[in-house]
Amino acid sequence: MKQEFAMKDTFVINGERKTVEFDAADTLLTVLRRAGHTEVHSGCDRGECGVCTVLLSGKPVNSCQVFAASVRGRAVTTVKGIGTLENPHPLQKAFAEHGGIQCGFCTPGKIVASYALLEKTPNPGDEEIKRALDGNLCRCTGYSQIIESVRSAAETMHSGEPEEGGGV
Amino acid sequence: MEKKKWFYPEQIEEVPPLLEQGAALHAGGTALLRRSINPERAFIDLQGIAALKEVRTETPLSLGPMLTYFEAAEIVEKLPDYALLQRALETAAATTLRNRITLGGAVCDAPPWSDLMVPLLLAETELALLGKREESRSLSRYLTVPADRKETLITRLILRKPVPGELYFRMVRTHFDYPLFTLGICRNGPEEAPFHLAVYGCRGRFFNDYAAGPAELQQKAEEVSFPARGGFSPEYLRERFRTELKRLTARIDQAE
Repeated sequence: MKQEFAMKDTFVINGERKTVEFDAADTLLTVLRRAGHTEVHSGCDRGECGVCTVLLSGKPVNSCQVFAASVRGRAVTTVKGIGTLENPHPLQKAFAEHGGIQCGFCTPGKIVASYALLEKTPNPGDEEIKRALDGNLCRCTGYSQIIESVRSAAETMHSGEPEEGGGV
Repeated sequence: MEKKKWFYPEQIEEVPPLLEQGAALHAGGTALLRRSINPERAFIDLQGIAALKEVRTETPLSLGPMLTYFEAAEIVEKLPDYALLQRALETAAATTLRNRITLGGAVCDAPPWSDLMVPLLLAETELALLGKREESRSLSRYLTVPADRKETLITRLILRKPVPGELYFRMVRTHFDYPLFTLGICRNGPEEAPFHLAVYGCRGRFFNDYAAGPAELQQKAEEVSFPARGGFSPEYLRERFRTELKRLTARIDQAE
């Protein structure tokens, strides 16, 4: 039996317009995962772990803390909008190469938040990286490899090497 | 009320009639999501009202209630004499939440762990309110009189005094914790009592007073007490407060 929802809107998700249906109290996280964007992970559902981080109009937010009804056609970017398996973003490559990924559960949120940082601050120092990722918890890595991954990606992106990867 | 769940006003004036019908204000939404939401209740999404993000940087500083913590921090960073406000905004919560929590939403919700209240109390903030009529209220009164918060929309936060300096402390166990209390001191009082102390998250919600010097600040602070919170006893929190107050007042002594 098809589920019926009270509201409908068109979101721009990773550059693509998608009509989504939801109830008044649904969060952006719920709507994204129901629309097939399971790369957006569900963790604490309280805005404390950051695994559900997406970009909303270019700014990193906890999607579990955003009502879907308040999105109103704005651009939403998930980790898949930043780069793909075939065409990974330097951040995604760096995380894989520098041990920034262990279980992988926090990784999408970390990469989205890191992407937002590098868009604004192309050559961040370690303190700036830590600050930008202060809402994204990781229980595996101890964080140093994650910081190294972001630093490496920043160097790659601004060393004059050809830039690979997507990016919305 | 007709069963429409969300309203999207574009002008401030559209809001009071919706409030009178029992709809709830939605700014960033983070406080609403922490509560059990009545499924029948309608929400008024304020994001489409441009006037609620207006900023006036001439004295007194006026900030729109729909500014997020991130946006407000960027604005006050460029102004002299609001360093304490900037610090509070930049250390609150986390990056992802600072992009959603709004000034007005934080004042309206006023949870005990708010980082925003101390600098606003030190600034002797006045709130421009719109309900059945336009009114203004001091923040101190707004926090203590529930009737002021009913069916009103904050349209502006007016900071009557600057909040310079770095004498700010938030009691947290780890960086990303919500503070158990916050405390700030700045030198913006009258000549006879220039030091202004504000504490938020204590018993009675907040403490706000002026003193002639560091010794008198410590004396006045004897009045501050705490409820048990976050697994910590009132005695521990009070001792911690007294210790941090001593550290901050020592910095005043060193500066002088």
